[in-house]
Amino acid sequence: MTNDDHELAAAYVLDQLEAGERSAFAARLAREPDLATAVDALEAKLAARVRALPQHAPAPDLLARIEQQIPPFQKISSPGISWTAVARWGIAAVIAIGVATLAVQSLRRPAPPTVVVVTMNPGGTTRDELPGIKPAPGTDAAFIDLASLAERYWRNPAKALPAIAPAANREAGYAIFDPGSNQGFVGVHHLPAAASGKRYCLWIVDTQTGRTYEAGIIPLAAARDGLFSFALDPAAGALITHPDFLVTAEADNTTPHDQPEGDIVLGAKRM
Amino acid sequence: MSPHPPIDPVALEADLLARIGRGERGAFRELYARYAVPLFSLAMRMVGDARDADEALQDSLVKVWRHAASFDRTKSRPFTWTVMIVRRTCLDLLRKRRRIPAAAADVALEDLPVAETVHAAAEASESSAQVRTALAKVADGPRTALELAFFSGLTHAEIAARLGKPVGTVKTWIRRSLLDLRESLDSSQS
Repeated sequence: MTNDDHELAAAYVLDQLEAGERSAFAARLAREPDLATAVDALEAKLAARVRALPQHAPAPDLLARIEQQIPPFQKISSPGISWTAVARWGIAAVIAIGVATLAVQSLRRPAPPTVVVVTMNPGGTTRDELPGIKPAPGTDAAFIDLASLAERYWRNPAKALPAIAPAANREAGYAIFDPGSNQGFVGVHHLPAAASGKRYCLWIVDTQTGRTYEAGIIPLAAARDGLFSFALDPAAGALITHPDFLVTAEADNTTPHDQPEGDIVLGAKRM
Repeated sequence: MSPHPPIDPVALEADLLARIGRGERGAFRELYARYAVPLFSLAMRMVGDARDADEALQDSLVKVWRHAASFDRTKSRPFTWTVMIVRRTCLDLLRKRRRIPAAAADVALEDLPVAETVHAAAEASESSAQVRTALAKVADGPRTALELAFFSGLTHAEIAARLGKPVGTVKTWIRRSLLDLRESLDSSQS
């Protein structure tokens, strides 16, 4: 390494390079292991310097205040889809981060139907359309619109959709789905913890063709309530205008499921 | 039974950021537990006021949530990445308040009181003391240049003007101070 490299490394670690210089230097790290090692060593020392500062604890409620500012939903992980990590806002100022693997915009289809809401209870579902609610065209714009709707319903389900609000204090769920972009949100309430070796999976049933698609694993962990985003694999090429949903408890393994095999927790399997 | 391999904290924290990027709140809480105190301490050091430090840290960690998916472990360590977010947020806050960043040269490291916090007694560890001792051994000029560059956000030209030295000297001092810190630490730990 040259003297210039040493100075650049220090400037990089101290965040003193201009954007273009920084990008160019960062690109070198992948190609020059010695440079990457030197930068890593400097970062370690900078970290030690920061950790050696006089210690101050933040206010006890800081974490709670931060969590109020981040969206309430998580993303369902689908074993059949290779997700690029995505975190997107659904409110007001849009910050799109990363790029999803979806490319639904390329599909040619007739005018998309309105958003569908399906309430799931043990043993059955109730389906409704939301008149007058048509998400903006394009996957990202539709996601934002759906997220706003999902958050509104999540915060006060009885007020947002009184006709099909899930029963209070019973396990229940609802799915808000946009057939135009094949994505949506699922909220679950009061779901008991999955049995050992099991995990909850969300399924979408095309009631017109009878075909079932796995939307993914609901990452509830120890929680009993949660709001999650999901999207169908665009390779499926389906336009599901009359969806039904169900949640099952499937065996916890890495093999993707083609069909629901576990016990149905919410909804019902149509014959 | 074979012993459990040591956990690499850097790799663990990089995984936490990856999980946060996928929207996992549990991972965010775990990262908060690991980073909140040092990051708040950094914010306090830079803005000098608890209320402003709270605002800066809150804004910073929301940014961590939003941008975690963009973290690239080949370009930076996780802690450094979050430190830089906090640092930039603090500098923005200071500019918004039209406050001049605290000149590190005005406050000697040894004069800073150790805060009586929950962590102060437990975390005023031997390693932290070693770093403070090592830093004190770094010559004043380079150490001051490093402090001004990092904590005060001054450019090389601004530091040079403040210290009355050429820009080239300032650049060399900054590099040397980091290297000297490493060497001093290595010798104290051997």
